[in-house]
Amino acid sequence: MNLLKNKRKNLTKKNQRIKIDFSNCDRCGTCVSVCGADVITLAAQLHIDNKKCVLCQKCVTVCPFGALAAVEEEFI
Amino acid sequence: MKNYEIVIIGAGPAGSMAAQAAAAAGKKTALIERNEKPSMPVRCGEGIGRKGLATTLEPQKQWIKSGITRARMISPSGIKVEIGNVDQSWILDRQTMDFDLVKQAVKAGADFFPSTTIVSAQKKTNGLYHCIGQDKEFTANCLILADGVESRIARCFGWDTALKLSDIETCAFARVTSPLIDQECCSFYTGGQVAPGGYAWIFPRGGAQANVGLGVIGSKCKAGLPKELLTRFIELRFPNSEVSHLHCGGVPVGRWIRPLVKEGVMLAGDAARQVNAINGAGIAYSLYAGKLAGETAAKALNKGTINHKILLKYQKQWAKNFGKQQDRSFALKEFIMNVGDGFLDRIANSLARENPEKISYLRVFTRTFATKPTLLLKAFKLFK
Repeated sequence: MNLLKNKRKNLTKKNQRIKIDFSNCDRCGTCVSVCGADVITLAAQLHIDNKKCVLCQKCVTVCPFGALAAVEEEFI
Repeated sequence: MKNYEIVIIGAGPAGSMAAQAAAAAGKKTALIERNEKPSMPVRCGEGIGRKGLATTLEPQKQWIKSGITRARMISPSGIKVEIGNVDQSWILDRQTMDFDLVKQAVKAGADFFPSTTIVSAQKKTNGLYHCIGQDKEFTANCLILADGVESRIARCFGWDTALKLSDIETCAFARVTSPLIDQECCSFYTGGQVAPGGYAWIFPRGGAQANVGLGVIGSKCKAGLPKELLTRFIELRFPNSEVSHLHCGGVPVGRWIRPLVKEGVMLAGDAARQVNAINGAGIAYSLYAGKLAGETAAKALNKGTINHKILLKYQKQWAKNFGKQQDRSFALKEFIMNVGDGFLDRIANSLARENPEKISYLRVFTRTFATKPTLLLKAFKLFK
């Protein structure tokens, strides 16, 4: 049971990532301005380097249109 | 590889003014913009004081949608305070203005590169700054970063530009067409229900249209909250209205970045957080700072070498003319964030009984102190 719990914990911590809903993203750059890890870039499209992301989720909080969300990776 | 003396990143008000000033002084100048056209889309309330605009520019007729001399402030519990005596404010057509400013920069001799994203920049051993774009590369003796609130290039030179959640207003903007809009008056709504840690605004732009928007402080924001609140705000005040141009954006409300100059790199506009933290106004400051940065860079550059002493004058002059004023606004903002809705209601209550023609911003201040005398002591510390 404990083993299972631990596994779940690892799941949520390690395999989360920030997902962009492109249909809702206005490319305003508010997320870029708060990102302390400097992993969000804005060119023709918004891009998040999930490998370097520290999952502080400040970008999710400030997105005026709610286009960002922390999700669990679907395939582990 | 394209070689320039001065490269400016971002063609908003700050960048275009800098490019115009630098090119007019005879420097080989490049102005780089991420989008196809500047201000596409406009992420701004577009309100500006006449004095603020005229400080730096000769205002053009085609930039001004409407001129307003009245303001209305609505407290959290709905008490209306009419202010009949404000300095003239203009509601701008930012798209036209920003286009014109770029045109002026090009006319002065600057090269304009639209649809060009700079990914990173670095200083090479030969002292030149190397800007790497997705398909173009530039070198420059001097770099002016005016790349907006989302500025990332400054991080390449050691500036920590990441904003704290308490230092950003996350905003939603819309254009509303409705016969219910009062075209004579700018309105400001406050309160945790309307816009937590910020305010909602209605800026009439003529022809039954208005810019309607609101800002929520990052520390009280949730994903998607500004859009949700704005939709509710518009539905409540202008039912069945036509809503277009729905966009969002962030407004920095922290202190302006120090230093503004590092070696041959300068920051200007939203990228330097040169915004009034109390009301989020930034156009006038950006125009001024951009022009000043461009002029200073042109003066400091002589045959490829930079005189750093001259370059540093940019920060000194900025601090003297607007920087100190912005520091006071920031301190005041920090205070207001902690007072709660009840305090705003009490001030509104005492002001609502007065004759609107006699209320000025000064009167609002004096009433604020009468409502809470201990503030006076704090104010002395701020304004000394």
